[in-house]
Amino acid sequence: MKKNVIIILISILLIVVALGGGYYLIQNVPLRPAPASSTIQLEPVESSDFVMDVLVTQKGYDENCKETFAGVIATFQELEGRLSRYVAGSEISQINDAAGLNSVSVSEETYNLLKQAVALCEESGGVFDITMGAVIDLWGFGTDTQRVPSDEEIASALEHTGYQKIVFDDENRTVKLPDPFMRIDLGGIVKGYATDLADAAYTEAGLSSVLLSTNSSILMKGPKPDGESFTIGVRDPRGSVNDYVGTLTIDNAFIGTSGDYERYFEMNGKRYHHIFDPATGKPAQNGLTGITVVHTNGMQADYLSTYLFIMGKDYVVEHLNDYEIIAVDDEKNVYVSDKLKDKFSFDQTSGYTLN
Amino acid sequence: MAERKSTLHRWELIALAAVAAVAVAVFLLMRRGPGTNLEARIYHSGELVKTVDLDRVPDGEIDLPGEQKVHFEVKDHQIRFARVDCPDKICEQAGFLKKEGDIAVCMPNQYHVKLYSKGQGANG
Repeated sequence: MKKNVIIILISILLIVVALGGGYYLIQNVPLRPAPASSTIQLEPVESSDFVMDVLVTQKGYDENCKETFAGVIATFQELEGRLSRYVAGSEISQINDAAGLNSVSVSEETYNLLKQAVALCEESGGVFDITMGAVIDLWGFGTDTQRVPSDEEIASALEHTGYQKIVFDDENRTVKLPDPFMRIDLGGIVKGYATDLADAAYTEAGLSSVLLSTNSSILMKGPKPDGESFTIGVRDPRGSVNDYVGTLTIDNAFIGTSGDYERYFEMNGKRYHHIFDPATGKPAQNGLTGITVVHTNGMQADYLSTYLFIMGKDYVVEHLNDYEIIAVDDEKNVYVSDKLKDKFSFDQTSGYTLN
Repeated sequence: MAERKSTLHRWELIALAAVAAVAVAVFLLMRRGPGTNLEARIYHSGELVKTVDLDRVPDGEIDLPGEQKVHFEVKDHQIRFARVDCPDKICEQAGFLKKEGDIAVCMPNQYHVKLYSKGQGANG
């Protein structure tokens, strides 16, 4: 009997230790990844870099990811150095600095991009305008001098906008701003354009599964090696950066987003964001708080997200199925184009209503 | 034949109680309470500078060696930017990160923090 008791006690102790130890191992010791059977890695490679005034993240699964990602960042740095009006000596800064004075000779890439940008301005009927620099500077977004200017100041700044006034010389490849106070700002398309260049680099390198984010412009190039599509969150405009109204799962697409949550300041209880309506010189207040555009081209996705945000809720709801979009309005409604309904997963706990 | 006694002696009872106490203690030690299996990876200019095990690190502030402008706070297995010297405070507005994939970024100071499952390989 004594032996039985001892055996039982020892058995109980061993079982408990085994259970507890096993639980400990499960919680704290990672499983070794399965050895790769091909050049496609099962564990993703991630790269994070600060460029173009945002955190750019790249995630891939192919063997030569790291090298290609570094090349993409170098391309983005070159773009920033050439196209940012906040970089002294960039080609756009040179054009702006010579406003009212002389023409500026620019690279073929910059010239072609500016021509494409003006074409988008024309297509939008002026709702999208790359010459809003004077208005942006007046409001002082992101600086110590950000403020709400008077209507008179805004009207004065608006006189120095108008993409139609840009003078192009195709023969000499020069650009001139006749108005000395006019300023070109390519913020509405440059990140989308950058994702197009990145896509070309990934394709050339043979990368088949990549998720690239420049915050407001995203490239989903998939599917992943396991066959699953990439999934991204659709931001809740009134939540934190990690709060979503739902998720979007797509194999291959460019995503452009615009919203009043990206860059803003609040004064006297009112939010002032950075997406200006060229018609008013003020932040667009047309019923939308955020919009996500899905497209086959990055620059188009970027441009459309700005254009449609400014066009506002009524236009977007009426033309919902002319595009592939997810729109969020200021009454917490979510609208989804038919073509995206099977790709969008709405979060029932988000506090929003799916229309 | 006399019937064998089935009751336990005193020392057997004491031994039984001791073993049971040890078993319970071992099990409780192994079971650390509800865990998240998440770790926070803190990056500076894209380079990993610190990994924080959100199941092991106690609540409190986390400082980085040589860094005066950026701090982090851990609370209830979550992490956030705290007491950051930056002009826009967007990083602090992100609040506590709580689920895998949550991210917060401080552009002016070039820091970002993101939550991963423990042991998830992410940097080749």
